[in-house]
Amino acid sequence: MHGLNCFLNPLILFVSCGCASFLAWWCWKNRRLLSVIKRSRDSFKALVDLSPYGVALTTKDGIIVSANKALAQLLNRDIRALVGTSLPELLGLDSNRIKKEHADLKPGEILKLPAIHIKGRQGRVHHLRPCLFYHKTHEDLLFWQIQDQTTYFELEKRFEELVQSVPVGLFWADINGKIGAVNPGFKEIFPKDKSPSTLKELLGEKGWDEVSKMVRSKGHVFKTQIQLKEDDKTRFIKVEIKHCSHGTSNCLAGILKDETVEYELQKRLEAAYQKAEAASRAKSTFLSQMSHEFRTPLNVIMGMATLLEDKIVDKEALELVTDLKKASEHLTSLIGDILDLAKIESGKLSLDVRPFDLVDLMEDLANVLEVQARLKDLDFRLIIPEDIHRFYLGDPVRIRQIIFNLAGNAIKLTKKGWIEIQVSCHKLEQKMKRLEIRVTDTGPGIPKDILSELFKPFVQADEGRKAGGTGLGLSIARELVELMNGSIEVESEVGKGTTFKVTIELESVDACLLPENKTFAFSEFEPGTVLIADDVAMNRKILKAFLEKKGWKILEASNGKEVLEILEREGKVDLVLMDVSMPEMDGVEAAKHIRHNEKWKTIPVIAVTAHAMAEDRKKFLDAGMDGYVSKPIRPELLFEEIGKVLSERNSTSGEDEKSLKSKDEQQVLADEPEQSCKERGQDQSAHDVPIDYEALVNTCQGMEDLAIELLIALLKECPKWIEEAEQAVKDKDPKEIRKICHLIRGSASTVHAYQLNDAAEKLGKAAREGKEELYDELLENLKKASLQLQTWVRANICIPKALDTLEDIAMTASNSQELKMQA
Amino acid sequence: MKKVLIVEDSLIVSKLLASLLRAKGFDVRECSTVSEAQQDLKNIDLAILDYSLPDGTGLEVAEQLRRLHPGVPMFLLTARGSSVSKDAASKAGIKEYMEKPVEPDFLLKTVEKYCNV
Repeated sequence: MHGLNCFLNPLILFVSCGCASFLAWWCWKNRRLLSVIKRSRDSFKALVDLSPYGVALTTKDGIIVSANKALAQLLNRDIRALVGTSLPELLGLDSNRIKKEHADLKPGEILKLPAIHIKGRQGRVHHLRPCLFYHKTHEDLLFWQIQDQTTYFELEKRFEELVQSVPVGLFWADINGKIGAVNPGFKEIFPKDKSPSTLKELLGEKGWDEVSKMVRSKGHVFKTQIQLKEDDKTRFIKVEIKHCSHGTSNCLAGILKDETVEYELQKRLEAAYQKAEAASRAKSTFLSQMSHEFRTPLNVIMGMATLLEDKIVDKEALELVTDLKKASEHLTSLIGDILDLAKIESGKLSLDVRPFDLVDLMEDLANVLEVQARLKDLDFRLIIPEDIHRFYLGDPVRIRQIIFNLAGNAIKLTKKGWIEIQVSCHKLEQKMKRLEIRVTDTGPGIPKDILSELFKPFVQADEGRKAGGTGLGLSIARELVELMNGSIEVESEVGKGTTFKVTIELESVDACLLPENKTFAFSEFEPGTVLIADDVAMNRKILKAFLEKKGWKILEASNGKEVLEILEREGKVDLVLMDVSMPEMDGVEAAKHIRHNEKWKTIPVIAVTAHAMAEDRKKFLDAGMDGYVSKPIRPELLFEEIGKVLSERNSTSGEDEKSLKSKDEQQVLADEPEQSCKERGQDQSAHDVPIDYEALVNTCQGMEDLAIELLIALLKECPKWIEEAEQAVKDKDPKEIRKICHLIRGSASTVHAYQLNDAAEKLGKAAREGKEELYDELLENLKKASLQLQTWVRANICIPKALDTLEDIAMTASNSQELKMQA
Repeated sequence: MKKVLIVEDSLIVSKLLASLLRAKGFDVRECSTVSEAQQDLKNIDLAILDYSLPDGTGLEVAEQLRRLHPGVPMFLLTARGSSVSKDAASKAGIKEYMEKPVEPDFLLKTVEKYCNV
């Protein structure tokens, strides 16, 4: 027993120890489990509390057991007061109905209840969407979730209002074209009960095909216009249909807009525009005709006045005639201005873009303006940077006109002080340059209220009106600048003066692009036979008088047919002056006949006409005429044009026996029949002989002593010129170099010293083109030419004792190395 | 004897023209600047004016001469290739234009025509 005891005691002790430790382990584990459960419950509670949805747990009868904060807020109640109240009642729902509805609910199924509206705080109506379900573990309890959809409802309501009230028709259609929902705007468009139910009905077969195509090609928008006819009235409806194929939707949304009013307005606008266009064309035609009508009698007045001037000896009478001429010239320029403006306004003026020399253009213009300015005792300045790029592509005639108009105005209006033209050039991208030309005066200035109106036709400041302008100059200038895509600005201060700034962008070009046209003056051509064609005898009389004075033989015709008859009969005619509007056959037609006839095709034809529109000019030249002079005829312009045309004809038909030769050329032709005038000059310089002595003696009318006297005078001048040229080259002063070269050439060409002339010409050209690197070489060339001339004179000319000062000259020049070398 | 005024800064050109005219029996006065010419514009029957002069242009002489003695024929000498505005020149009263080098026949013929010799 005892032994058993001894055996049992330790066992009991062991078991009890094991039990105690198991208990301790169990207790510890259970506590952990409890804490896990507690944590899970807490986080679940937090989740429910923080949910934006109202969440509640109720009995089957709807009595709230538990609810979250969101629900209390939705229902605008205290959360503690909610427990024990009936949720369906709070929501305004019938509890019995709810009971019935959820009776069949299976666990896990959600019952969605219809939306309910509850007035909340500040009278805002809340839209709530409750749903409920139960869980199989809590069959006696219902879980509620209530969503606040107020914002969504409000949006939807607003959208709905919009759709209902927009003044356009809206519709949805499926992709088969069946129109579903439409708005009232849609129904309004169609007459009662005639709303289309399909797109095919709305758009017609063809339109629906297009829409289907759009859907197939995954295009997005289809636009068209349909016409609805009712009671003799047609309405124009714009239709736009969009294929909505994003997400799950695949349908067509469309919009219809009644554009009848706009359409009619546009029609009326178009009609009005066309009417205005027609009126403008009529105006243009009227102006061109009127100008023609004006020019014809003006031609007679001016022509007769010019002829009278030469006949009148009495000084007073002469002054009267001069005034008469002045007035008709003014009238002519007025008509010109009006025409220019008409041309620009009707878009008929096109720019004649070609390479030109800006500096030449400005200097030439300045010469004219300077004379005008000096007549009024005004100072005139032209400021061009020495290093400015000279050559551009542009319309030099129009640029000249712009600046002439501005500067002419300035001179007209300025009583004392100065006028200044300042040219500057800024580099833009590539070859483009921006030219700025400022015309500044110290005139009366322009009042502010006129400034904005300044460029409108016929708007003039009082001063302008007093000065007798047309009021068109600035309009023309502005229009021309705009035609060149440039701008014109004006700054002015009353009492101080005005500055106009013209900015144009031009492409710069190289000098070699400039046409090298050698034009002889009219006076350089031997008089020949001219055929004058004009149906108005008085006009013929004027031309006849002008040309007879120059020794030309005159033939007359009164229409195109007669021109051809006379040409047939006379054979040799050197020039035809052709009026354009003539009976029987007009001038254009006659010119075409002349050009197409083998015998006559080289005869120069100049249109002499009162047609002054630009397109007319093109018409004449296209018909094969060589030149164009507008009536009223100004003799100097007529002769200039004849000279130009004859020069051109000469250079194009160099070997043609019939064409008129310049006197220069004729002299040369005696020895070298096939050389043109230009080649002759170059050939002469290539000769070893530095001077054409025979030509000099000819020039001196055979007086050899005069020839020698001139030669010696030239040699005397030479060292002085060369010294000046040396200095100018040293100073790198192109202006001065040009001046000296100009001087040398004037003298050298007179005595036919070709080498010297050419050397001076080359140096002058280098200075003009700014080729400084050539200066030294060309200066040496010039010195050499001068020395060779001297050497030649000493070797070939017997110098009379009385004139022999050449020794001195040779002494002066003997220092120069070349002479030593030659010696 | 008809009196001719020549205003020309190139000594040689001036000398040539003067000699040619003197040979034909004209009384010639030579000037080389505008101011020199303007000092005496009396008793002139014809004027030959160079366009570019050291102190101005021949047109200035022309303007003054025209105002003092309208009707006196005036010729303008220009360098070949220079583009003097004929418009301005004819406004100043220029009747004829001569490009340098001047063709003597043409010069004499023209001068004689205007002087009715």
